Amino acid sequence: MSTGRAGDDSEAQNSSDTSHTQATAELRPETHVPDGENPRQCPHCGFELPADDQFRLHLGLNHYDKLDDADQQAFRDAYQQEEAALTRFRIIALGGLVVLYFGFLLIYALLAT
Amino acid sequence: MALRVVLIAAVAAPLVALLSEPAIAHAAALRGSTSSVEVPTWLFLTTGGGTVGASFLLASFVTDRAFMRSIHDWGFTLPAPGRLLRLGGQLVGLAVLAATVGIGYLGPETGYRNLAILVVWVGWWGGYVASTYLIGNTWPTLNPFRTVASLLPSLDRPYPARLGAWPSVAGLLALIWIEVVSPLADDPRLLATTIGAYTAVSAAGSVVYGTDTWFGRVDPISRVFALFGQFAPLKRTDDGLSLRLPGGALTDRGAVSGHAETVFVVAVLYVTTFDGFVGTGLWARLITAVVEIGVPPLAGYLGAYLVGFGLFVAAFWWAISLARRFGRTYITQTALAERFAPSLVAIAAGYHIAHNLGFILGVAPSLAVVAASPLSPPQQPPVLTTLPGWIAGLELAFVLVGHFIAVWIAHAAAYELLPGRLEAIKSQYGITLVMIAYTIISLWIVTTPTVTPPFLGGGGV
Repeated sequence: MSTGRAGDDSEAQNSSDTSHTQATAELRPETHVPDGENPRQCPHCGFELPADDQFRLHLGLNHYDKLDDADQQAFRDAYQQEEAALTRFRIIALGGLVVLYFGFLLIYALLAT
Repeated sequence: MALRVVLIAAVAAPLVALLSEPAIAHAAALRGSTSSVEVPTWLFLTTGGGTVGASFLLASFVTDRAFMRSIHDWGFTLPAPGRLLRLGGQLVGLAVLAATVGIGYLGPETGYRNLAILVVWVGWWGGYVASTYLIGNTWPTLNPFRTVASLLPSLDRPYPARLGAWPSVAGLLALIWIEVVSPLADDPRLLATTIGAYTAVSAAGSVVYGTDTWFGRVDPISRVFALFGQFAPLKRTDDGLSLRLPGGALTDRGAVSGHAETVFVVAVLYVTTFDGFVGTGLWARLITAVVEIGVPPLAGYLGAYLVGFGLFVAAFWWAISLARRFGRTYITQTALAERFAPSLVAIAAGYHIAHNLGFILGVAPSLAVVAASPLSPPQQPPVLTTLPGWIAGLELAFVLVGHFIAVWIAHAAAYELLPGRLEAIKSQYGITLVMIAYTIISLWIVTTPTVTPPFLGGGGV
């Protein structure tokens, strides 16, 4: 459980950033880390995330302005990699739709007379 | 790329719906009508399930968060109705309550000739409830129980926070239980007494905890309407009436909060389903077999009622646990459930209208004629016996549209919660499976011929 760490960092930042970070922090859903796992904790809002790419994506999506160049690049890379995985998923999903559509079409042709 | 995919999805979604439509329209055999089913039932039911599955796959092509938000945030504000209109609404609510209870005692004893029965089951539970999700939740204004309670002084005792929404879950289950097993839909005297008791309970609750707390947190009817109101396009806010797309508000954070409220959403869906399920031939055979081995009928009903509820809650939690695993997230199951549960409201709304539309249209003439002379209504108030066939098709379309919106709300919730786009899609596996299963169950209940639930004595209007 991680609560109460919200916005610690943002106070050091300039004031225009503060409201944004606190807003995200308040909206952050509650987390629970199972024993024996090593979470990454977001330095900006305290949100806990598992694998490295999820962490990078969270940083980029929620705190992009506060990242240094290396972190921004890491986010862009993670986003690109995700794009490739998404494309694979979309092809499978499209295949699923085709199977659903023609499967039903065939069954209807055979059974509904 | 994203835009093209969105366009394809936008064109394809209604197409899939249309393609499934003819089969569904033919297969409809609503409420004991004798039209023959042209496709095997299993095929008709799996088509419904398949359509919901397809809508998930189509939604999975939309991975642009900014685009999704722009859809849900679409809307504008209208001027709010004035105080005079509010007072008028309260007076109308009170007048209807007084007339219902009065006619319930003084009017004819036959259910279908008594205005109380018709007002409550046709006008209110059928028609008015539909208005709470199709137009907006007007219950806080109309609610006569609240108007009565607000006239009384209040002790304003603090509401125990640990109870949360649990009393409303229990209250909802209890109310529908009474509705199912008692002849509340036939016996105007019993109905009037029940309404009187309900007024007394809510007045007592308001005196102890204050009207806002009681009707905002405990009263199950107000809470059901508040949930349905989240689906509705119109909503009363501080600035006036806000207009949004149907279901748009269900994607907001805080639409449902806390473990108990997620269970309440499941309960709303469950009770309407159980109400339909006891009218099926399968249930009639089941309960007859159970009673034959010596179980008292009411115990059989109660057992099935609670076990079914347990199964619904378990299925939902299983779906959420899958969301946690496939979504690769540390977000707690409760926090995930809070965002996924609102999608079920859309399903409940679609199912409610499918369950009631034909019934309301059929009995509406009775309501009008009996309302004209409540104390001496005609012996046989008019009913529409033959509705056009497309009404049945429309009912099934509502079940499916409710599911499409639900799939979309779950999709949007996943994208709000999870940083990874692929994880957000995968997190919906469980909830999509549950929705497909529920589509099949609800389509089966809506289309299977209705029989009178055995051992209860009542037959309904």
